[in-house]
Amino acid sequence: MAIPYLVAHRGLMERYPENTLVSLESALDSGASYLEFDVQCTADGQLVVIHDTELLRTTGVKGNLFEMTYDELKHIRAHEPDRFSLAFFNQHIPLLSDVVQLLQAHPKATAFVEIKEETLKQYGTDQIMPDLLKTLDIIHSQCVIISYDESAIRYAKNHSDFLTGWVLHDYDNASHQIAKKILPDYLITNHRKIPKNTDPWPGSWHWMVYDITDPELALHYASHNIPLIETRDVSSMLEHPILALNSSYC
Amino acid sequence: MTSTNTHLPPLTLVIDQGSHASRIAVFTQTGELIYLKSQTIATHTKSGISSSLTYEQDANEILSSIRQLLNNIPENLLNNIHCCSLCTQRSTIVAWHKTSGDTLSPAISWQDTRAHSFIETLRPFENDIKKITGLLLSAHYSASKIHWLLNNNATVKQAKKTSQLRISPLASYLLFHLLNEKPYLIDHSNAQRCQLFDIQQLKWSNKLLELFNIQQHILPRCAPVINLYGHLYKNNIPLTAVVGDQNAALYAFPALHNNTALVNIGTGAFILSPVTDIDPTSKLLRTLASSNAEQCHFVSEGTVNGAGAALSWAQQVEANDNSNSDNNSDNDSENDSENNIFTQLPGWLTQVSSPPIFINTVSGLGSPWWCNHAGEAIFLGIKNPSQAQRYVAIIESIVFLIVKNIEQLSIKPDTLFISGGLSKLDDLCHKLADCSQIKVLRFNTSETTARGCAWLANRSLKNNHLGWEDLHVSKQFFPSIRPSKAHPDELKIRLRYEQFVGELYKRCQNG
Repeated sequence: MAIPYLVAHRGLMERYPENTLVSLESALDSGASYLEFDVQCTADGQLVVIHDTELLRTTGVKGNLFEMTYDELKHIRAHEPDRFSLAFFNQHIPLLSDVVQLLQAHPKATAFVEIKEETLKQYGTDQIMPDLLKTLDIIHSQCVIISYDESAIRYAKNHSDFLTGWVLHDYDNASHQIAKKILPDYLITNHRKIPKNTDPWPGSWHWMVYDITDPELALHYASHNIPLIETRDVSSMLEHPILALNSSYC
Repeated sequence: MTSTNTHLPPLTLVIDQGSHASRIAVFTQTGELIYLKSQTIATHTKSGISSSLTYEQDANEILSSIRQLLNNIPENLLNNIHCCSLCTQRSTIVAWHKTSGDTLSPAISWQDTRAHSFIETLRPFENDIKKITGLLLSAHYSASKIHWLLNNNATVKQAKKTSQLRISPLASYLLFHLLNEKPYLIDHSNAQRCQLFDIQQLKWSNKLLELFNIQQHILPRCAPVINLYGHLYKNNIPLTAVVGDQNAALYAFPALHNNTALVNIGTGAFILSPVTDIDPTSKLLRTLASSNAEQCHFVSEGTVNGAGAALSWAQQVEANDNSNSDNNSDNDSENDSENNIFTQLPGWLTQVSSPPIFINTVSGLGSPWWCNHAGEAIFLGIKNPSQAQRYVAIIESIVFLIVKNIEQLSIKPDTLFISGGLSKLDDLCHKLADCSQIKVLRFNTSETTARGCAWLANRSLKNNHLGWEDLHVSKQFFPSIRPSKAHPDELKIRLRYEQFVGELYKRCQNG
């Protein structure tokens, strides 16, 4: 029986504000071996861990990341007030380097680091990628650079030996042809985009699908050659006796 | 000592920050020491005698000493260094500003027991603390000092209000300032000496953080000893291990067998044994010697606080006795008097056959007593002992404290490896062999801490085929007289030992 590995989507986002240190650390404490988080860039060139460029959803504050310096941003709380009220008021938008330190303290963990398309468009791939690779270099063996933007994957492959993962907008023939050209180490897609009960495209890559919170569904995908399952609730998923066999505590 | 070879094979750099000095050492791939420089660090004690419980150092002074030593490494060596590592005195902490990295307090030394009375209030939790941390309850470890800073230092309180406070072992402060990445990390071995670290879970213990009333976010994150911590500001050299100084010494030697113990004598003395199945009532520590991403290595540890520290104490007492209105804390004169003592010690040890007994309570009693109320350090048996008699008695007292710890080990060793500055004294080694009735081996290097640290640095490198050569025994010391059954106390040193131990037990009970 194929037992999938669970990837904690933006940390343990079901229970904590997404992409915060508490969310990422709690995922690791729950037994996750893999994390996924998102990287964007501030107006003054600081790489930070946040999904949206508009701050409102996760901070309750109106503003755009690309118009703010890190000095302005660091006072803003990333506590997702709509979901958690004031429970996580002490959480800020982490610098990528803060998360690097978290991973240094968990050397067995692997991180899927998504560099967001908006940031690559705003500043240019050639501007952003050198900084990203440099910041992650110290945990090089613990990282997979992922992106929807194929130029970022190409850059990482041409300028480093980081593992890479391409996130698919569309599961169609055009994307398949691109995947065969850029040959990422991972292909990542929404599980609903893969036709039911079929194995996804074979290739030199491994597959990862998101976002799944049903353990049986995770096992179903594992039996269809998808070894990595991204989930917003890694803690509950690991309560399943079979999925728990691949927790970091085993 | 400096090599002039411009095409050296990969070298390893060690930053060894000890209680007494900062050192920079460079080792070849075979473990040969080819470069060593050091700079002395001042310790400030408030009243200057053993009853003083305040030992402070200046973290800025420590940092600049290291920077200076690094900046002076010859280019041809520097360009051939492929990795480096850091070992530091353990349990010494400092408060500093999160953003600027500026110090907010002096570095409070491991020798400092200012928070002793607070520690006593935690006696009911002693067993829990031992179980979680592997340590006996003691004011020498960092937790009570952190608690003290949070409650008594105005600058620290202010920084806490503005969320800019960090309080960390010295190693974290140095990593922040020496590495390009400016991390806020601590290794497992130094973390353990904070007395807040869960050695099973390998993270800060929530229960103990609550007990000591310390918020986790002011502390660094904990990482394995062998780990890529960042890159040195000089030449971007990867720093691949951080470890406590005594722990590092263990890795300088061939792997210890169950019947071997290591005795490392510096400012404090430490007895390390690979036998870790000690019973829960043991008064020895369960020490996390090193770790990597996969596993941890534990040893049993006995702790003597008053080793080199006792000699410094005696010098200070003499200086105070001789003092007039002159400023007698001048560094040069202190160094002179220290050198003077060390040149005279070998002679004194030969001359004095029946020294007085020195009740060595300097810096508080470590294992197995764990007692900070054993009273003043005094000489017994001889009225107004001479200088020679006093110093020989101090050396013997260090031997006695070590022997008492060896007797606590669950398997009695048949060999002792000895290292550290004071192990250079032949007669100290003789006395240790006589008093313990165990063979003592000294090796062909005294820089064991740096050597062990260099060895650890190389463990993290992939495809590393390190041709590390074992140390060679440079001298063996055998017990000179074995006490017979008929005359078990034939050795006078054993008689003095029994008297010494009896007196310490009496004092701890009375306290």
